[in-house]
Amino acid sequence: MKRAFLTLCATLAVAAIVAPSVQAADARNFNAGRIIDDSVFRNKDAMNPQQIQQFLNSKVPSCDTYGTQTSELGGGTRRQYVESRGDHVPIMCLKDYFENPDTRENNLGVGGVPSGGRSAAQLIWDTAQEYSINPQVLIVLLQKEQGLVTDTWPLTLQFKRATGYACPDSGAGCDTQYYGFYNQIQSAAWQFNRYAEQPNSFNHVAGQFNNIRWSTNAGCGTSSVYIENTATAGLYNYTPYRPNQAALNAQYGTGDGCSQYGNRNFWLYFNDWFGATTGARFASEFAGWSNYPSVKAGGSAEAYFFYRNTGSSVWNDVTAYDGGLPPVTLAATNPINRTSIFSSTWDSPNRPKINFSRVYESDGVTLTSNQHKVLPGQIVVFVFNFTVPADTAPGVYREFFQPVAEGAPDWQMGSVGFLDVTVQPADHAAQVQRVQGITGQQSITVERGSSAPVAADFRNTGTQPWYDDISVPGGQKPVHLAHTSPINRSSHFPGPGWGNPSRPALTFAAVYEADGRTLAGNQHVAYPGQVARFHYYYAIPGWYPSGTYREMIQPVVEGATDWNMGAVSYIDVNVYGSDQKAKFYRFSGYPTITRGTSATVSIDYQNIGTQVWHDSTVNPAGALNLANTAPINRSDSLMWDPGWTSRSRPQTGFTAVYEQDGSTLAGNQHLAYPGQIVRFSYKYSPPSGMIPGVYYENIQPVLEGTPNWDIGAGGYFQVTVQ
Amino acid sequence: MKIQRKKSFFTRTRTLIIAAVLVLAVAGAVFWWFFLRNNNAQTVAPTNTISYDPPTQEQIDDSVAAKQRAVEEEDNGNNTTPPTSDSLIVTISRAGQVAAQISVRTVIEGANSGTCDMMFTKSGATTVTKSFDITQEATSHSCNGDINTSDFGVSGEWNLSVTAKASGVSSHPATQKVMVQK
Repeated sequence: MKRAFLTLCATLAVAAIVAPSVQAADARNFNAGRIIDDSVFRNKDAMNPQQIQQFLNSKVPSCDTYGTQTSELGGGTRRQYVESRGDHVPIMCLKDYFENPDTRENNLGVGGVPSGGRSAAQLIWDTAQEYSINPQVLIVLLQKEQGLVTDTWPLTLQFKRATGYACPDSGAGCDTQYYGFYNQIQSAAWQFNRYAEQPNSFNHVAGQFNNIRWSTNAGCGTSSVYIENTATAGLYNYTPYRPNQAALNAQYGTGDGCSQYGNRNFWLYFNDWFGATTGARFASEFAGWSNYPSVKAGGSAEAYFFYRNTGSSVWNDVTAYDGGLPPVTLAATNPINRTSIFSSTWDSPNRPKINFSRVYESDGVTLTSNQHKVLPGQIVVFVFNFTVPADTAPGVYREFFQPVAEGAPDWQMGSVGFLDVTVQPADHAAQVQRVQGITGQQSITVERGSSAPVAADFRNTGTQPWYDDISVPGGQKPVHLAHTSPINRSSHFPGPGWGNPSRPALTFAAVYEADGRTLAGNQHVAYPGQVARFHYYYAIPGWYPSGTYREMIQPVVEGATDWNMGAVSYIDVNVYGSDQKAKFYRFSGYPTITRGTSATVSIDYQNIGTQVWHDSTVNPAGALNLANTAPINRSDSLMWDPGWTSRSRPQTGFTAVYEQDGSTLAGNQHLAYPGQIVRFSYKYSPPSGMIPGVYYENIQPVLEGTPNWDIGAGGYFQVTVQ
Repeated sequence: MKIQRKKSFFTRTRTLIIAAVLVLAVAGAVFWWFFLRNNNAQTVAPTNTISYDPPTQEQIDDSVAAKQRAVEEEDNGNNTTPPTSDSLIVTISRAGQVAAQISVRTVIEGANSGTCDMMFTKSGATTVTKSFDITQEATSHSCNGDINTSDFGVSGEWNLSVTAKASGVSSHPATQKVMVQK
């Protein structure tokens, strides 16, 4: 017995803890910008008349028809109170109310059913159907305005002003022409429908920030609310106040001096009686799409998707985004944010469109006044292009898309769909076979001042033959090798045989059959499937800095509208060489001198290293001087001139410094930057006793006093002494 | 034998108590997991349900309050006092450009009829002034206007000032800046 008792206690304790309980709505979850969704607000079929009647019955289990109980408003019994206000028993609760909608005759104070009378439940349903309003909205409206749904002894005046229509909250008095139960629910439903159909005509509008008063008390001020949908805007148009936090904290109770309760109570009653007022914020359904595009490689085709906004929130595009709701864009998906190969003309590689192309009313035909917003029910079309790279292999590509709310936690809006893109062979298309230097690598290593060859092979994947400059017939366009990224970029390394600095090769060096090895019959025409080889040189200027330079190339149909055949490739050019290096540039010629006289000579050297030269006026240490050589520092006792710096240094200061063109004087005549040219001028003065004949004077530039003094470019003057 | 029976009873009792405590602990954990762990979640009733339960006491109290408010408003409805500059209030709900019009929407309190003046000013530009009627809405009054952008001399930011007038009284102006793009 005791065991049974203990077991029972334990069981009851567990049951008390885990038994589900009905949870009331918490007003603190009230969202001022989204009180109710359009889809809920406009669901006219949420209840049928029988359900409405059953619901009204449940809220008044016992109507005090004869007012026998004590009046909560004072004045004795409820009967005494109602009679003091001119009303009569029997008191009609809402569940028992009947009215003839044509004559407005009702059963208040008389009971029974007037001729042609319809119940309140039926009238609510009729009105809901007429104006496409959820009957639950009307029920809640009756409760939050007059408490009619739960009132066990309603007064006539509560029926007269049942929805509060034309009764200002500021207490300015009602417009009596709208009195009457049926009149009131009709007027309210008509008004709510107008709010939806003419959204811009009223005070509050969805999809933007609105100033909303906290209270009828002006001192309480306003707040800025981003209203997310039309239904919520309609509620604020009907009751233009926002409940403050004190009102929300009070649930159904009283807040503070700045509290207003209309919209709070609407939300509370609706949630408690009929469930959540909101569904998915962002939801969509297909309203149409384009045919599957078929396009040649290198071409483009237009496509589109129509989506209907079936969520509760306004969709803004990026243009309309104002910091409120996240913008809605069209995304490539499966997986989401997939990068498409057809995206070169899209707003980004995974967003075909971030702005709406067109926005239609729900009929799908009438353009809306604001082409950057899509209200619930309206339809948007995203129009975009599939741009097919020229080197895309023919085939069918399935491309998935879906609208998304950018950055929102509920970004998924459904409507994942695809278009099959059929890519046809292009007239002109290419595919990279190989690009290589002499080592077989996709790179060349070249000492500056020299050159190296490159072979670039491309397969003709189009439907038309390729011609080079030798074979091109009249009316056709030749295929050249071009520098690209961007197209027609000039190379710094144009070599011999280039058409121009952006065209390494204008002719085919070879044409192979499809196997890439067997030479084709015509070496200047590459038919579809065959492989054309371009062969050319990169020549590195002597002064070019060391490093690796990526040269982008692609074959092009010169001058054609479909010039771009894709097949963009590259070769890495590795430049190396001494940082200090000179190159003989020019000289004044071999002199003939009568002994006992003198002659001036000059010799020019180009700086083909990467370092700057300076002369002795800047700093004697490390200066570039002209030295006698063979052997180095040879002391010249025969041709020596007093103007020399020393017997072994004909000249230690620059006579002139030129730009790379060899004629323009450089800005600084004591420094020679890479590529610039230095001139040394000096005299040879054979003495009068010198034996006539031909003499060779060896000279070279040197970096005075440095370990790497020898920078090459040694040479000689042939001096004829008469 | 008696002692043995007594021990046996206490042993069983202790076992049952321990079992009950364990069950309570498990139940508490289950309760925490399902009901308290996600205390940030909205506590709203399921969608598309109809509650046929009788009203709660809170709802009944609210209903009585609504009845009392209705009675008071009915009784006081005709005793409207003339507005003053403090009781006549303009609130600009929104003001901005829609297509080629500047739309101004206001809520008016303290008057059932009258007019409102909307004045747009901008330094160096001719002032634009328009007047509109106060109209009745469902449960409030408003004064709304749509002004063509062609009425504005130049594009740019304008200062809007709205003043309501009723029964010979002017309200304090409500102001807002408005961008005009001609």
